[in-house]
Amino acid sequence: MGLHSVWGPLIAWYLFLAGTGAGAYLVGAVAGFLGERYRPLVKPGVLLGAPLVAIGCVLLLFDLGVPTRFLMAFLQPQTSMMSVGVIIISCFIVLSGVHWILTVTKKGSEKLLRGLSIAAGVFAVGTAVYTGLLLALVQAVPFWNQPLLPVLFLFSALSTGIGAVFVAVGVMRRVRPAAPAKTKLAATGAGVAVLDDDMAVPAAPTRSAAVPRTAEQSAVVAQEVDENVVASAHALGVVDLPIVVAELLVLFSMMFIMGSSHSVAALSVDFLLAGGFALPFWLGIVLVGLVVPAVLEIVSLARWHGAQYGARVLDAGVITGLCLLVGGVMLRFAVVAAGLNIAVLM
Amino acid sequence: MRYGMVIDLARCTGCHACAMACKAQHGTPPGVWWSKVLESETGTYPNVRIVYEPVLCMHCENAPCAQVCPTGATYKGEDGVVDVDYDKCIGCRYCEAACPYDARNFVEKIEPGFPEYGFNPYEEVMYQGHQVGVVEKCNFCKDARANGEEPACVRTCPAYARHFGDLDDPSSEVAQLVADYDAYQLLPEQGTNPSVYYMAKSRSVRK
Amino acid sequence: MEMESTTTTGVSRRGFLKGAAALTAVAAIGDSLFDGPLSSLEEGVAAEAPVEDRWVRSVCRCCRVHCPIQVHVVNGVAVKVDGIPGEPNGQGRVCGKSQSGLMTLYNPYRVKSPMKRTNPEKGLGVDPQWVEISWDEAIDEVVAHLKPVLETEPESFDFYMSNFGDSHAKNIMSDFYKTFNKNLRTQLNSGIGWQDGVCGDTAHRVTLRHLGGFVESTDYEYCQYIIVMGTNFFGSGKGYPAPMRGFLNAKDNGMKVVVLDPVQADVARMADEWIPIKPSTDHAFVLGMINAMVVENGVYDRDFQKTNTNGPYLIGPDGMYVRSKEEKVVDPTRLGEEFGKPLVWDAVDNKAKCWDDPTIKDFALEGSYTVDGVECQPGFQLFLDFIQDYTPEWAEEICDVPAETIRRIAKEFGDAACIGTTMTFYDDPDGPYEVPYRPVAVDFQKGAQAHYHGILAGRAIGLLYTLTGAANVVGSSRGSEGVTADPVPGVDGVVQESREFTTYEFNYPPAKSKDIYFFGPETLDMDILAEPEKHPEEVALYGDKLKKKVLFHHLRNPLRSRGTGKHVEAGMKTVDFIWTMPLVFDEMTEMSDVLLPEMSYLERYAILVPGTRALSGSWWEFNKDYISGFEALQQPVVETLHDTRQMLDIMTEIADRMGYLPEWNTAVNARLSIDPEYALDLDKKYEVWEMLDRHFQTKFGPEFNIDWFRENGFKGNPVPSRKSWYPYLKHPETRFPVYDEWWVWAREQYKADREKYGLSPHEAAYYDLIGLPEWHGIGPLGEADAQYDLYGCHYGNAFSAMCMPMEDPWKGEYMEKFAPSLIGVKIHTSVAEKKGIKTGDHVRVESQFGNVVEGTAYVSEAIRPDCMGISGGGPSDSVNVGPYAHLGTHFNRLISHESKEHDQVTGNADFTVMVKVEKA
Repeated sequence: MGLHSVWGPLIAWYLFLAGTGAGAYLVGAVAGFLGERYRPLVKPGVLLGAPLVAIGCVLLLFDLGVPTRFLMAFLQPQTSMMSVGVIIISCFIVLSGVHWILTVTKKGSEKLLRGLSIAAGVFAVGTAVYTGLLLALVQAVPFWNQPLLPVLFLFSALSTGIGAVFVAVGVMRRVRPAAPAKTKLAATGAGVAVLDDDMAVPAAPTRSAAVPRTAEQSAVVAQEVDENVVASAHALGVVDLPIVVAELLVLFSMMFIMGSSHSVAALSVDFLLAGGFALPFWLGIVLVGLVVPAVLEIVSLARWHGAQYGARVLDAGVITGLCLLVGGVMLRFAVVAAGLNIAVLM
Repeated sequence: MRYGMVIDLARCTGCHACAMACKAQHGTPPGVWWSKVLESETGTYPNVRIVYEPVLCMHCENAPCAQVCPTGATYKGEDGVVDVDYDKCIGCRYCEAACPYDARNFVEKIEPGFPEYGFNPYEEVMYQGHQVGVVEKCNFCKDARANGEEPACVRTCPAYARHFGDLDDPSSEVAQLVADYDAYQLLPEQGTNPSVYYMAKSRSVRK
Repeated sequence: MEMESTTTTGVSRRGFLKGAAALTAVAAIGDSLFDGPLSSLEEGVAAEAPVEDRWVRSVCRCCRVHCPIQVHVVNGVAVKVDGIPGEPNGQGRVCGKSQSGLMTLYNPYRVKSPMKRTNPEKGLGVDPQWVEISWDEAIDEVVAHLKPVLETEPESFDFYMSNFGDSHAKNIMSDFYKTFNKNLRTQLNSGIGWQDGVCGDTAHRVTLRHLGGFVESTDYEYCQYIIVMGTNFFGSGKGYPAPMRGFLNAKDNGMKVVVLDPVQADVARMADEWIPIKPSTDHAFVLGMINAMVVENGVYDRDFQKTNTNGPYLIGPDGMYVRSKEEKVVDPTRLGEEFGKPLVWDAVDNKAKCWDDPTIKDFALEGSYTVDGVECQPGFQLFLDFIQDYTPEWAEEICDVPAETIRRIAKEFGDAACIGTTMTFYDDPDGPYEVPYRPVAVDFQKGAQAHYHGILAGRAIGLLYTLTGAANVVGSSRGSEGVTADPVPGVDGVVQESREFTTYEFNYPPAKSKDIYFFGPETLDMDILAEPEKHPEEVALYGDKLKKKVLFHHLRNPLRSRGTGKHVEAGMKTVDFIWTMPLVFDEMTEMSDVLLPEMSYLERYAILVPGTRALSGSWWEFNKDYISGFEALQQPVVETLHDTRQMLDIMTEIADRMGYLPEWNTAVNARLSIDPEYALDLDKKYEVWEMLDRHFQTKFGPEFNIDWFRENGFKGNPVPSRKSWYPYLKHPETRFPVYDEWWVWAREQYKADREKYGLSPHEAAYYDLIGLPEWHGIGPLGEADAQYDLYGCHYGNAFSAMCMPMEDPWKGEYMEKFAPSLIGVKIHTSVAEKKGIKTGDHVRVESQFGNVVEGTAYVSEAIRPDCMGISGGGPSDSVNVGPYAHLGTHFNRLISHESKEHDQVTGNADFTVMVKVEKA
């Protein structure tokens, strides 16, 4: 399949996991400032962040020729983007890791959590951007050496992060079995309220009048999805759609610019668009990774409003998320594999 | 002081002695070649010319490998030689990605040349100086220079096509060759300012 | 707990590891990365400090140039090979083969001890199933077979050896065995066959006739124009590295280089003008060039023709000299018979005179005359008549070089020759000396003349020297024999070859008809033994005498040389007992009974003189301090690795056990030229180094004994001036042949011999034994079936020229990664497209003789579209060799082994062959 590139699958997975973890965390962190409606995004985002990035770092460690010396990588931030990167990513893991622990143990004040969100969020952005910069600064690989690459990686990190949260939100809704009619918990900004199972619970915000239910109806209602969860899913779609579109634009701009510029970069582009990587590129990155999510998001946002679509929105979200993730992995593999060095011109 | 090399392509006969001399001097493990000769063709029959281009680390003034190295293992010395402290190398291969001259060699494994029989006495001695997992390169034969010798590739070239010396010393052979003949660098647009120059025209053709 | 062996710090390996593991788990991961014998790294302690660190001088034996080397030895391990600065043979440099020679020393697939075969079936690719035996056993086995044969039927012993790798050993062997059979042949290199027909059989004949030396060597310092044809001499043992350096320096000084080569090999690549000539047609090109130069431009050295060629010699209707009836001399080169002196025509006095008559006023070069009723013409006239029709247009049809190019080269060459000029040198203590100045040279080898009719091709090239006077003078080609040839004139004034022509009784096995270097099928004994049905006359003539009972072999591999090797294999199967002294399990070992393994060149003693052209073929400047009698000592740089010995020591032991030690020592004394005061005591056994010691003291004086040579490596003596560089100055009166009447005379002798011994006429040879180099066609190439549509050619390369095949992992891996053209089957892009072949594809090559090889395609523009090219030595076919020995493609397997497809005069095999290439 591949052209010769120095780095291989482990690095591609690392780039993906780092970006996704950072992106997911950002979703969770930002959602934390947006109130109850989007509260369902916080936990998935925060809980995915540090672990994904940490797993990525473990892969990175395995990719090193001499992993036992990894601590030395911090030493050259004044010149090496890799040093900068390991510092950024370490700060992210620490800060988001603390946030992770606090989330799981339900400790920490609101103020602390917000502070952590901001701090770790900054490093999350840094994580998403630096991976692209790492490659873009390599002048010897013309295909990488362009300012659009970090932009692409940032967009991709955001959208794969969103994708991860999409999946988590959709799955977690299913993971918790429908609570017995007696107890249902709804988290609110103020506290926890126990709702009496005899009360009718409106499926969507104030659209239909509350009507008394039969026991069967209550059972059905108990499986209806929390409206905030659905709202959160929609929000993900709203945010992700422009990002996906932007990704498509940036991706093709990159291909076009590189394809018509440097001879070696043109080889890389050819490899991706028409050569050994063509199938994964068009099918995996473009179709599955960007077009399908965009379509699903458009349809979801345009047509699936209303309580009856709640499950569908979440199901579509899971599919969207998986597609985004697959596309994101493929994209990282594509960029790494197509990184042809100019040394072929020597 | 800036050590550099001038390679006379009008004299190079493509015999590959330099590549072998480097291998023998340093005992680089299988798969690792610090110095080699690239063969290509230009033109079409009968107006075709086979091209031999000996390449090695260019010891760039703006060495990308030194810039990207996260541990400082790769560094540019005072004498112009880009050298590596392998005990600091973590094997991230960033230098290998960043080098436009294919001069960095990742040591994937250290195996005997004749696998059926294990390491021979030469390999037993010479592989001591190599580590698995690091990214090696030419250092203009640091050990030989310490003994007052020129690099092995220069010492062995039967065509006398390689010259070594201090580019900053105007009286040195390399400085004079660069000044008097159309000596050029490879991939100059990369901005690396290599210390290895090439001459393509016979010396019967002066600049 | 048992302690493992401790390191210098006293910490046991196990103890350290435990501690390391206790410190960090991660360190344990790091530990596992270092497996194998790199124990010092694993333990984190410094490697042992070297107790021995020295450079030892010796001589490389990776090819036959024999460059002196110095080897870095650390604690008994050879770790680096370098040249010796200031040394004149290798020019202080060594090539890629030599650099990787360390890996051949440490090649684990070497023969490590004496071996005896247990598989009675002998054959190429058949495992002999060796068992190790002791040296005693091995030598006793040899003696048991050899001694009775030498004593009772010595003609059934033969040996097959070369002088590569041991400059005197072959001669010592030859002298020793001649004490049993004084008729044992030792043409140049072997007892059997004429160098297998794969060496410079034809080229040597030509340079001996036209330059008076065994090889051509160019005076690069002054050469301004060189035509190179049929050689990639950077990649041969002949041209590397001193001549190469001279060539490159001359180029830097403006020498124009024209190269005729169907493939753009490394010398062609450096040409100012690469002429991709059709293979096997250099002959036609040269004739066209001579026509343009002499007939159209009138450019030739007329004075030289009169005083320094046999052009004035009158030739009669029988094609031979018209000779004086009164003045006669005995000619030792013509069977010691008496001949009248050849006559010439004095153009002023208008009468015939002896060629050396001091009253001659002017030599006639043209015209027809009658002498004593015999119609005759000067040889030069015959040449003029002969060359008329070989126009550049005629040549173009054959060689595919445009006529205008041929004309232009002819003009450039003729102009550059500066006919009529001289140069005066002032560097001799005896005063200034003047030498003709002809700065044009022609360097030719295999590709130009290793063909059917190749002797005529070579002789046409020889005329380029003779017509311009660019022979042995400033800037020209020089005859070289050692360094400088001595072109001694014969009694008829024409150059006599340096080897004496002698006569001896016709005997078995016959030398070539009276030792005048003719090829006759009878000289390829192995072929006769293999296919007796194809040689009924020789079989009838020699009967049982063809049979060999014992054959010794060393440093040669005839199974690889010509064609499939099956004929040699079949011939060797008829031999009762074969013993050999191999380094590796090559093809020859697969036909042998007992192996007495030799040492790597880095483990042994020898005296090595430079290869044929190495020291001489360079600027005189490079080697004037050593030019006379240069010798280098090869000595062990490491202890012998395995249970091996070297040939001379083995032979001393064998001779002793046979009871012939005095005869052996006599041979050593003689062939090492040891003076009586240093002579070996005939009844004592000596080691090789002791023999060499006595040789050195004899040659250079007691101060320059073996210890001096161990320290300094090499010695030669300076000469006072450049005078010794020009063979012309040794014999300015020598004449070279234009109409080479000697071949005509030789033809008649050969004819008579064959009739006398009842052999049928050798018409094909007679056809080519003529006075002038007529074009007789391309031989078997022209008879190939149409399906064989490509000319298959071979060319050398510096990486694997003349050396042990790619048995080592350095060259092997390197060629696969970076130099695939050296191990590929090279074809032009158009051919590749037509056959759907890409670089890297596995291909099958079949020759017009039905021989097949396989290889890896390499598609290129730098080759004639009607050619296929293979470089280098090709793989070994043997069974017990290492993994890298199978790289490449073996060109020689494609050519014909049959004598009827060789040059009929010299026996040179034809190295162009029609082939077809297909995807495999």
